Amino acid sequence: MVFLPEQLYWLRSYKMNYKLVINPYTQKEQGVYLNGNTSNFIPFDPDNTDYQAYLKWVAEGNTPEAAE
Amino acid sequence: MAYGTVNADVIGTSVAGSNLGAGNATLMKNRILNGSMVIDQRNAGAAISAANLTGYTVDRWSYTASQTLKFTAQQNQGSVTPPAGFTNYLGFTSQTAFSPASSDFTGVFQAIEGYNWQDLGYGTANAKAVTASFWVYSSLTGTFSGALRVYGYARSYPFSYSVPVANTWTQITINIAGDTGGTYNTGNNGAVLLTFNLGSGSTFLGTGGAWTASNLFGTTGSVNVAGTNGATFYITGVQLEVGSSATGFEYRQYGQELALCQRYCNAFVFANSAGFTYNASGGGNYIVSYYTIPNMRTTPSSTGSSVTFASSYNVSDATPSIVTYTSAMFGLGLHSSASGNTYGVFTGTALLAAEL
Repeated sequence: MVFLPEQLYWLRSYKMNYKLVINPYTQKEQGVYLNGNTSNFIPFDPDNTDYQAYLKWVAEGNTPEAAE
Repeated sequence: MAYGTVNADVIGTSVAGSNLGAGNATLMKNRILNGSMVIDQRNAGAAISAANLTGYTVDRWSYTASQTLKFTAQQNQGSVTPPAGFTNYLGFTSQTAFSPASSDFTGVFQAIEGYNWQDLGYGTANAKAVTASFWVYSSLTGTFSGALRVYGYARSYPFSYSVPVANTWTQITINIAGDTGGTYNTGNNGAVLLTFNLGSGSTFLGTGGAWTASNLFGTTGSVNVAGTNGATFYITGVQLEVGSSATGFEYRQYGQELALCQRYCNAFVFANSAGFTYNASGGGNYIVSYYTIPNMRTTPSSTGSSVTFASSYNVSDATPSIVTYTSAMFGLGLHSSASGNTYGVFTGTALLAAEL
């Protein structure tokens, strides 16, 4: 699932949420799980378009769930 | 002219009806990937949901819309005979009679990576003209439209084309001037999007045949496929090449085309074949790592994956978690339920996407 910049405003209607993922070895945030599904991983990579959509979601005032 | 220099749009050959285009005529002639719609890793020929606003159909081709439930899309939808030389096409069928508001859009596009477009000099005085060619089959007739858009949507070049006969394959050729304005990515991000309009509002339509500083999907007054319930739009043999002449479609070997598509989407299939075993002396976490071939465009997402355990022992998870590390590596994570041997077999597919 890739959201394009022209479609980002639809993210709100999707009621999406994200959950942070911590790398167990580095203890740094390495990505998020989409809608709490651990099969739906989005890496913190600036060139990844799903990550760009996540940043837009955060910029709109949303906050991801904390990592477990 | 220096020896070995080619300075022409067309190089004639002795074979009737065949010419070579300029600009590295036989290497990377077609900037479109999967133009013959043969690769379908995500759906394996199944239809994509009409409930989605966006979604990849066959590899590299994405449907996009401002409202849900307007189209279904599928490889070889409708089971018509493709044009000679092709075995596959991408089909769309309208699910309603939709009159777009000014801000609505529906279309299908392919984004082309900067690395595969930078030699055309877009955004500079040396921008080169390109030619798009494709086959279209529709239940409707009239003037259809599309556009070459800048990735980022600041500029576009709308074009129109005629489909004179319904339910018949028509080959289309479009000449597009090089864009000396705008800013184009030249690395691993998107440069342009070749877009086919399926029904858009006035905000996304304009005058064709020139570059404009707006995000247009097509031309004003063109056919609104979404406006007729059950209307079809099928397309294949899409090529975008340097120069002002359309030349023969660049066929690639299946393995070559698949590998090119896997830079953007990689369906990593386990199918009861990937076992793991370790000794969890104190329980805890374990990650099994895999390499993708080829390297992907960037670190991929894993949305849409279906990896589960075909069998497992001493594993506390119902399904493994997925993480991606680099453009070539991802991992499946699991937890031991107790100390001692932990083992099992994965099945399903890790769907890795590094799309533009």
